[in-house]
Amino acid sequence: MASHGESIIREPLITGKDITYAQITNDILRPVENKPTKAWWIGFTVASLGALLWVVAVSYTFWFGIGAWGLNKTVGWAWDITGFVWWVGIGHAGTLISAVLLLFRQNWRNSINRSAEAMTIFAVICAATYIVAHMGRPWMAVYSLPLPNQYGSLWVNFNSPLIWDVFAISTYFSVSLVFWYTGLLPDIASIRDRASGITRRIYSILSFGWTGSVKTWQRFETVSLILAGISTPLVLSVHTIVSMDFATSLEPGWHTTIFPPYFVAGAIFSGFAMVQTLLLVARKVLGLENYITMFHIESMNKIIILTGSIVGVAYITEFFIAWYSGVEYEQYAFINRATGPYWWAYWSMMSCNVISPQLFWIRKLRLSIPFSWFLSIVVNIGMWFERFVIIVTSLHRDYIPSSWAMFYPTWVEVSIFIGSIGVFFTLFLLFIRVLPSVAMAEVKLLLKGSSEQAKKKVLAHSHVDPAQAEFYKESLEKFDSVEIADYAKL
Amino acid sequence: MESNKKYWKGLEELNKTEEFVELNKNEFAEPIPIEEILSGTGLMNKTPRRSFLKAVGFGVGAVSLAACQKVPVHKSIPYLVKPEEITPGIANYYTSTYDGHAILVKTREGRPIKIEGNPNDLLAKGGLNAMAQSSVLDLYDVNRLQNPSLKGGASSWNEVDSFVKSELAAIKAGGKKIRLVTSTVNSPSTLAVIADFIAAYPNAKHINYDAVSYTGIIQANQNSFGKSVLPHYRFDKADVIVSFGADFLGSWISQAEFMNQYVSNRNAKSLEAKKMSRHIQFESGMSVTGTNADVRIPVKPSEEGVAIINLYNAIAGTTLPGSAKLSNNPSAEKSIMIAAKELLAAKGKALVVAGSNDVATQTLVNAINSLLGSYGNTIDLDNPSKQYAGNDTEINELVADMKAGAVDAVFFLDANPVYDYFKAKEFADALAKVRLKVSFSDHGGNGEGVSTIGDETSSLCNVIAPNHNYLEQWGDANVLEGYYTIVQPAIRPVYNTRQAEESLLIWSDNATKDYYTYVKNNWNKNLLAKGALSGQKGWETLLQTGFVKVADNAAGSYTFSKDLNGVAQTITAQSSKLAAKGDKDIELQVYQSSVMRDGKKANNPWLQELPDPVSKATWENYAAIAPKFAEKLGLEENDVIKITANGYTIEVPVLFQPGQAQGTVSVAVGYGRTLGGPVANGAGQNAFPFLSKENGTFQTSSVATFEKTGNKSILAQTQTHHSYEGRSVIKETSFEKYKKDATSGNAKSKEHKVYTLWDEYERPQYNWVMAIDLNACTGCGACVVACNAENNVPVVGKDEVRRRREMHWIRIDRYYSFNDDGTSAVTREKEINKLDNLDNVSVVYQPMLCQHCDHAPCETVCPVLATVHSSEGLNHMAYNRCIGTRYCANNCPYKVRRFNWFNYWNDSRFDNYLNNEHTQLVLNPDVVTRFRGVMEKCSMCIQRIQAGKLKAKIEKRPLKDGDVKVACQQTCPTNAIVFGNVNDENSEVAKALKSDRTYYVLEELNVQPGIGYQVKVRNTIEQEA
Amino acid sequence: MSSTKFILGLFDDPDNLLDGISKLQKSSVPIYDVYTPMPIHGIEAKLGIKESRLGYAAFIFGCTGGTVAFSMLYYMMVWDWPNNIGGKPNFAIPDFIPITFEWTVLFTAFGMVLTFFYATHLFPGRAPRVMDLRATDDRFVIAIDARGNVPHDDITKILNEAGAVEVKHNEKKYVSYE
Repeated sequence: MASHGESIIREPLITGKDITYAQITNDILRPVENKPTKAWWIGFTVASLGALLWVVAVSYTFWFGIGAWGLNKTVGWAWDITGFVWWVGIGHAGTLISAVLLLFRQNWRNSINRSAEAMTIFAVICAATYIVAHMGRPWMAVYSLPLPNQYGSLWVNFNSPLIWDVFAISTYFSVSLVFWYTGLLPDIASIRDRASGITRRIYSILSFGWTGSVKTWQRFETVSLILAGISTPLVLSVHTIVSMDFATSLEPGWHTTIFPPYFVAGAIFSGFAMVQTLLLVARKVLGLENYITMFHIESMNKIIILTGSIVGVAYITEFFIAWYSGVEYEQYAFINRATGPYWWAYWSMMSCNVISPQLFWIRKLRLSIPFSWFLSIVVNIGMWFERFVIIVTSLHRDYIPSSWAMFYPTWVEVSIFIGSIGVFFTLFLLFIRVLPSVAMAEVKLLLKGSSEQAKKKVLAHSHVDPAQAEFYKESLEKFDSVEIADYAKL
Repeated sequence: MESNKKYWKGLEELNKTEEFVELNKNEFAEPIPIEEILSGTGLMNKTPRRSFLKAVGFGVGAVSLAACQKVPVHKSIPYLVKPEEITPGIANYYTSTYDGHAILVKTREGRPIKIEGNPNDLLAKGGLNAMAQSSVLDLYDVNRLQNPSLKGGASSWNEVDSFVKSELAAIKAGGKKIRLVTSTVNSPSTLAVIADFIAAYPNAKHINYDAVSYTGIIQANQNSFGKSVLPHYRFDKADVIVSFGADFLGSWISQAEFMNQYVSNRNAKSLEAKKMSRHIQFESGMSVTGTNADVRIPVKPSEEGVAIINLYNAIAGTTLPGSAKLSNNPSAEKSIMIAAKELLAAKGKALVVAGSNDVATQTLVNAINSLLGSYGNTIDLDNPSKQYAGNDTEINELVADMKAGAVDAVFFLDANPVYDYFKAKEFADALAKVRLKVSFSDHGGNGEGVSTIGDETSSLCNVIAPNHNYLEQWGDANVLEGYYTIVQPAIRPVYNTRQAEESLLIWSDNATKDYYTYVKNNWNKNLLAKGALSGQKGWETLLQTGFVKVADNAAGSYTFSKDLNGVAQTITAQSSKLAAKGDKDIELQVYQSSVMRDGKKANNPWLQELPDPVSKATWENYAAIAPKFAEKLGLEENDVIKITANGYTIEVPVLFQPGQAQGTVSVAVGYGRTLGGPVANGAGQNAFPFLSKENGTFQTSSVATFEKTGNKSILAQTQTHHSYEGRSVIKETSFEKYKKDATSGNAKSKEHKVYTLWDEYERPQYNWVMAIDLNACTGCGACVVACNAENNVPVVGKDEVRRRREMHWIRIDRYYSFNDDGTSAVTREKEINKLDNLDNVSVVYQPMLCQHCDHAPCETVCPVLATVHSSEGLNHMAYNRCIGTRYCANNCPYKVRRFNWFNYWNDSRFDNYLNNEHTQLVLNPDVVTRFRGVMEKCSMCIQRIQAGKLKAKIEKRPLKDGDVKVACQQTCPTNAIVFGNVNDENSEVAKALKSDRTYYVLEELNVQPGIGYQVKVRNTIEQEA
Repeated sequence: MSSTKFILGLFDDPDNLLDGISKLQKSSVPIYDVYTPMPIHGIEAKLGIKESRLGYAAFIFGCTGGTVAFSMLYYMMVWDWPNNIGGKPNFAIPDFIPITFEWTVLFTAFGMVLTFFYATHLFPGRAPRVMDLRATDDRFVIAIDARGNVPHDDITKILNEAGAVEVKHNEKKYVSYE
């Protein structure tokens, strides 16, 4: 149960006056139980147009062949795998928030994990589409599964990181889905019990008949805990394996043992950036300021500084090792990144991923919503460039100089990437219409202990060390959803 | 004797029962109810309803079924009656001749699918150049003329014959001139036919016209020694070779032959004998020969003559009038002196050649050679070459005559002056004045539909009598004195064409109108005897061996004894004319690229997509300019510039060519066909009009002006980075060093030790590997075309090559390194950019193909096991398992894997040859065509390996070394590529790989490649160069 | 006897709920079940509900997954059709680890969750056995089987004392989903 009488100096996780359990339900279900707003419609139209573009571009590719893209004999992967890794990376924040932060008992996760997990699932869907789309013969994709066949029996190559990918991504996707849906059951039940008619029927089916009896809750908590426990290594393994697509190869610039941790950090980095991008908007549009507070935003920004710096260190380490290894191919690959024909990609990556997050050391920027949002976009761009740099600038000049070539994208692959973003947002917008974008049950847990009003009560009625009280009040100043005035009299 | 056996119908008959006898009286044993039926009572008794319905039902059903049945009409039933010599699946080889080379034509189920050199060929010993390799595709060219045409419309042979004959009769009566314009004819039979034709029409004359002519040399020999012949050069006998712009390893006279001769003094064998020829090249444009030279000095066209004069002076110790120092080309000046020294030292084993077509120049060269005692040793005037006999004066006379209206009939055989005559316009106008214009052109057109107009010249003729492709015809050739080769058909004529000689026979009412008989008679009469053959037996032997050879005449030594002052003056005069004056002026040199030559084969996609050995550009010609000079002019690569000379202008993109003489630009002929067919048309610009006529011969150099157009046109190059960055990809050394230490330049890979983490797999029987000698490879590119033909490699076209998507399984990497101060070679881009003199460029070629690594990186990463290793050390590719993730290609350090970006064999956008049902006949049935989305690469001609194994098995013997030759190895005129089973200690390849020069590309990666390369050795002398 | 089947005590505060439970237990009123919109810790202990054994299930499923994966890899790569792939050994254990791990996780997750659904009778379309519609919203409900129990009024009293905002005497066990 949410920590009774939690120390006063902790910042509140739910703000606002006289919030009741009913209040929470009402606030969170507002978008689900009412007609969509204008803002939603606009967003949805734009997003689905993007999705349409995706359909067109992908169909074009399937019809004519991969030649529709700008790839060549030297650069065999470019925007396709860049996009794949980018999306998988984004996917990581969700699981991380719901699993790792749960294990660390970070209660502030309760109000953001739901939408973060949804984001994970949609991002992984986008990534998966890339796996199929980049194949020369997508209709033969089934060959990548170890199924018995008439070749009696020709299995797949379990030495190939691509096969590890197939297993990792599919496991990751299905486990996240299970985790997410189990968490949804109680909330779907509340929708069900408030709804009527056909809506009730549908949600009744989706709710699996959830009642919220003691035993159910007890098992529910065990399940969540264990799922969190296994999802944590899973999420780490997934990007580790993705990084092995490169690390296990011979390609200078790919063949690097630092890749697994470096990719995971990068994934969390971009993941949190994407969570920011989504929630800062959702918070306003859905009026969830009381549940997704400045405290949440700041905490995520702090994580972005941390992971951003880890990534930065990784970049520098790569360079050092390339020099230290004394391998001329490695050395050239990295010199070429920074000074070669693709220098601009490298330096956009550096400035977006390493330099710009450092701005968050400044408290004022860290607490500015517009700036946080802007920076989250910057980080996402930077992370895209990171993958582009790793893939294209390594490939385009590797061992045999005669094969060195440049890569120029065509409209098709650009459209596929833009389109995949469209697909992602279409799914996300549909999600916030039909399912609670904040985990109600888990937020309700916080009401008694960690909410602003609870703490107000404590301030009013029990004796707290005035120094602590002062500290607490100061900490409230950053909140845009708190009226400091009320604390004057206390 | 008549048998008295009696067969009885049954027991009744045996023991004649009454009723049997009774019944047997009637015709039918049982009575048939005829009466009842006729009287109608038969119809009374009802058919039961059910059986009626059954009947109807069946009837209707059966009828409708029969109606439904669609019976496809199969026009072709292969071998309903199988010709005995053809076994489906087994290739037949027929001897024939291409371009004077004795060849073998490989046919499958009656289709010629590949050309291979006849191992006993005198010229190239079984090797063939790219053009010969590609020639098989011309047979299936859809733009071949399919019918004779009369006055521009399709017609029949009868009409054509009657028309031509009547015309000729009239013309004969009229007495005006008749001219047969052909590119050089050396076929005895054809010459005989022409002789007969002239006999029938006395006012006829035969003119040999070569688009790129060697009149200069022939004339010079006439003037010098009274022998108007093209000598037979013997580079194999030369220890020191000095060439002034003679591209003898490329387009000059006899490529494959000279390659073979030249390399015989530089290959592994000769090196192990501590012997290596020395080759100094003076030229303005960078030619294949230049890239192979030990010392290459760029000289402007205007300096070349003077250089030769100086060389003469240095050797003869005299001073010819008009000789001057090459003040603004000191390195040339210096090198001339060194060359002179070396030539004199190698007297009798020296050879000086010049590419110029100028009589004076060639005369001077003759003088030099005579001083060096080359005649009888390195130059053979008594067994001359007959490859080129063109006479520039005659063609010019013809034009004059036609202008004057003195010519009533012209016949064009394998000649296309309207395209390649230097004053094409003038020629066309003059041609219009001719009454009867007959062309034997066999292909060409604007590429739309079935062509009836043929090439540029035939389109202006009133009769086109399309000739057979050489694979459909009988004939013979005689390229060298005493070397007679036979041409025999490998397939029945594909179209309604007729052999040109036959047409001539018919039109001249010859006694024998059938050319086969004519050839046979001619051989019986004159030639078979030379090979100690006779009669039908002899003829058949000839068809099997493919040629007869008469013992060489003794090569006499000739001494030059003419006065040289006049010569020298003409040369200097000419040179000063060529010198560029103004700053917009530039010295233009027109050359033949070793691939496209004079453009007669421009409609061959294999040739168009074969990168130029030096520039690696495909599908067009360009303005080659030295980088530093271009910098001076403010030009960038791919800028389109306008070049104007001799009142003619073309616009071509700029290509930076290191080694190109400063102040010069080179443009290749053979491009810019307008009626060459869809492939040829619009590929590049025609540079022939840049030629000029000086002192009676065609000259290739002139002063041009140029200007920028502001446009850019990206060249389709297969290689855009030109230095090997000092990587262990290439290893080279100098002959000096090599003599001291055979491992020089390769020391590392010798002390280098290989560790592996795991047990190696067994290669119980065969372990197929390859050895490639970088010193033997001249970069000509024959192997690439051979591979295309053998393995059905798609042609992807200019745009795809621009996108770096060419599909070649074997490519030839060409790297430049530079010698700034004459010490160490500069190979890194960064340092090269700092150099201020890029003239001392040295070039190395490296054939690069799948290395079939024992630890293949591609195999490990393929998700679906589409590429795995065989127990014979080969890296297999299972196309129908591949899903096209392209990971293998990314992970291949050699970047030799090729991806099918599109459906090259049935996508109308790649209408080069694979997706055209006619041209598809050239495909090798032993190799599948690849679908889009799958990876492909060199398979070491696994189909040939299998064939070899099967043959050995059928003959119940173990596979011998040399039984299996892969396509690239088979065609290589210099035997740079050796393939075989390294498990066999005595195999060629095993020996080659033991050489001290052997190294493996990128061996530090421990992918354990199956192809060993041998260090490039240059015969440079350290202090100079 | 009244037709009341179930008595529901509806609380709006978890603490009162706990208080109610203890009060009822003091006066030894058997509690049928408790429905809450969120997990409330300590309540299962109060009601004497045993620890969930899902953890063990999860462990077993995990072991199964790992074993299945590894033996599959061994069968396919080493036993059934060994190939020479880049000259590497067929039994390349390091290469087997990623997939073995993934399947361990996969089996654990699915096995455990399905067990959970099975044990708790959760499956798509199951008619929800809800006693009070607000139990999933903002009410904490104690359900007491009315039959054969101490006089209902006493129960009502106890609940009210404990601070129940509302006490229902239901004649039907579940709210019907017409």
